[in-house]
Amino acid sequence: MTAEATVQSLQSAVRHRLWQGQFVAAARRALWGSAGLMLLAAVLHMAARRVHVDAVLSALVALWAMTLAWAGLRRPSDSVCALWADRHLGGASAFSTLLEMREGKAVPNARAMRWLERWTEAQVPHSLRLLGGRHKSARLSKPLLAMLVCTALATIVLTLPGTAPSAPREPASPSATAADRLLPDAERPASADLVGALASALRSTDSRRASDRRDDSRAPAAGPGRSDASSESRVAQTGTAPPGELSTSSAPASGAAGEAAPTAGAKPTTSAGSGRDAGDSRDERADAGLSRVPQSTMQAQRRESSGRRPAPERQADPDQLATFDEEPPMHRMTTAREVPDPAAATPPPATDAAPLTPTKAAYVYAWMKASRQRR
Amino acid sequence: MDESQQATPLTADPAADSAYADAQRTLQDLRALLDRVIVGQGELVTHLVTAVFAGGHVLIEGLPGLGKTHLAKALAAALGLHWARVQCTPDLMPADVTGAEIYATAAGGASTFEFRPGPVFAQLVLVDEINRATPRTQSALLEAMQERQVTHAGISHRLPTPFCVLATQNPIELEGTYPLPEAQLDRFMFKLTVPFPDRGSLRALLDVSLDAEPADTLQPIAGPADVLRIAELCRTVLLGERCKEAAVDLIVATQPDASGSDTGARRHIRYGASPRALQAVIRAARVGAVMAGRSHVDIDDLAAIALPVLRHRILLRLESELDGLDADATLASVIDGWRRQF
Repeated sequence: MTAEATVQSLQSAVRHRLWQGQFVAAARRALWGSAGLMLLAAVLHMAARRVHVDAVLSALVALWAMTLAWAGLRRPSDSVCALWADRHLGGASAFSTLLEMREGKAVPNARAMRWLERWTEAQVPHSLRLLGGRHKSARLSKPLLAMLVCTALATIVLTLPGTAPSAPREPASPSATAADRLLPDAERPASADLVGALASALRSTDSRRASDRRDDSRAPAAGPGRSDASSESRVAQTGTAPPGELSTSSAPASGAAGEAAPTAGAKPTTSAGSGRDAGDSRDERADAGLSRVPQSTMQAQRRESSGRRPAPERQADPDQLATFDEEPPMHRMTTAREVPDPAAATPPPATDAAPLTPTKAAYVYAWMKASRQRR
Repeated sequence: MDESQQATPLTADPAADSAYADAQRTLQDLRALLDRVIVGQGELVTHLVTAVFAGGHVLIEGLPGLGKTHLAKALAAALGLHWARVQCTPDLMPADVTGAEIYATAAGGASTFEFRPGPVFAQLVLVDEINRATPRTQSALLEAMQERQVTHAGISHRLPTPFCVLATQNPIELEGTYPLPEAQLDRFMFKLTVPFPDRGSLRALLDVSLDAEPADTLQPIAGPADVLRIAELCRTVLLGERCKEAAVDLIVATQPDASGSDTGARRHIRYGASPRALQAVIRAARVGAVMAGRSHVDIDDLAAIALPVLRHRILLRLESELDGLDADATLASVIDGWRRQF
């Protein structure tokens, strides 16, 4: 075997080894990539949208194909093999120098070249022994383990029912309530409609009582019959519900209250008293920002106190920072009369968590009826 | 590439193939001989032999009594070289080194001025305590080292071959000395430091040189012609592109302002190695390759001689010197970082 053939055999062995290393490295990268892909699919499936297993498998196949093709197409060149042999197989720069001198245009010193060829030829068996005894460390255990774990996780997530993201739940914030008003009636839960109807009925009862008092003070001609009719019409017409409340245009309040099968409300909505005192106690569900005192009572108090009130003082409004009311008290009073009645206490937002039992629904209905009779 | 380009012109001389092996054998024998005489200074001996066959000059620094003069004498004796010694003092004149014209009467009665060569006209010149000579004398000597000739009265006199200057200097007792300027230090291929021998070497030293001067009894194993032949052979050693790049990178790594310089070099070095250092690195590495029985240079050959080639060619920042750093420590980190790249 000539010197060139001997060196070529070493180069072939080194190329085979380097190519093998490239495939191992590609497999390592593909394993890590597969693990990441599985995790991504699981997270995407749970957080954003349903991910099909076929899509994940297709992505995996594409990843592996690209990585292995990249490794297969990168054939180690002669110079790379020579350099590697110089570095790792005791070549002492002989293989790369020999390759350069053979390929170079400059004619090297003949004596040195011959000695170099002899030196490399003598070195090849030793280098082959070193190559054979070199430990092949694939280092595939960690990425393989990671891929198995991630695959198992992704399989569980993708195959179990109920892990896909559900429809957006009704938020409990006021802004979400406002957004709810924009929903079409078909998308609104029936329990929310029922609760809205009940709340409207309660509010209409309170507001009717307040308006009756105002009417009594102005013209005591209004009779109870008219009041009842007005009350019932308000209960029935959800369009009269004040802003901030759920509109119940499709569900009749009395019927809904009577049937009350699918109800809502996390807490029992009966915070009023019982028996005779039903409806007379303060509504604890009221919004903290709104007064529970009827507007007519407030106006009457203002009227009584306007004569003996000292000069108006500027009162700090904690809700409106850096602003204060410039209006004089008299003007404020007249303005207060023109202001429409504020909304009554806002019932808690309706949720599907605790449905109103028929007993409770019947109780609410009885309470409404008692309120009407008292008027 | 066609066959004509791939074909390597080879000589038909079968003895040519063994030239590198012969050179390696000679160098190994020389080292072994000097190791027996200069006990416990193996690296110093190797570098010294390398410098001689690479055609360079050596500056040896060490404390008194470490065998610097003894080393020079042993080397000259082992190689059969004509050697001379110049003991430098402040009143040493350039003519005392290079030679002078004297008025001489010929046999026929005619009187003429003739040039009498100085000690620099030896093949191996030991310049002892070179830093005690005046700058004028130093420059005359260093001119001879660089040009390998002495010009006197308009006539150039070639120095003998091989020609090697071994200059010594003492790192202590610097009062009344004239430290060599950087430009003159650059003329030396190597700056070698003589370390204090270890306990075992001291013990062996007693057996070798207690009652006799071993250098006086050395038999030469080679002659000046062998030195020239091996030096010529070393110049044929092949140098691959990778090694060329590595040598250039090594020099660039010592430059504080270069883009490829080492971080330690940027912090501590004020002036880096010169292009002459690059030539010295390659020449010395070629001798190292022949010593290893190769006709091509390896990067390990470059690394082996990097420190003695570079240590006197860099100038540290004042702050680094005040911090206790020296050139060896700085270069060690630079060379280590450079070596990891290849």
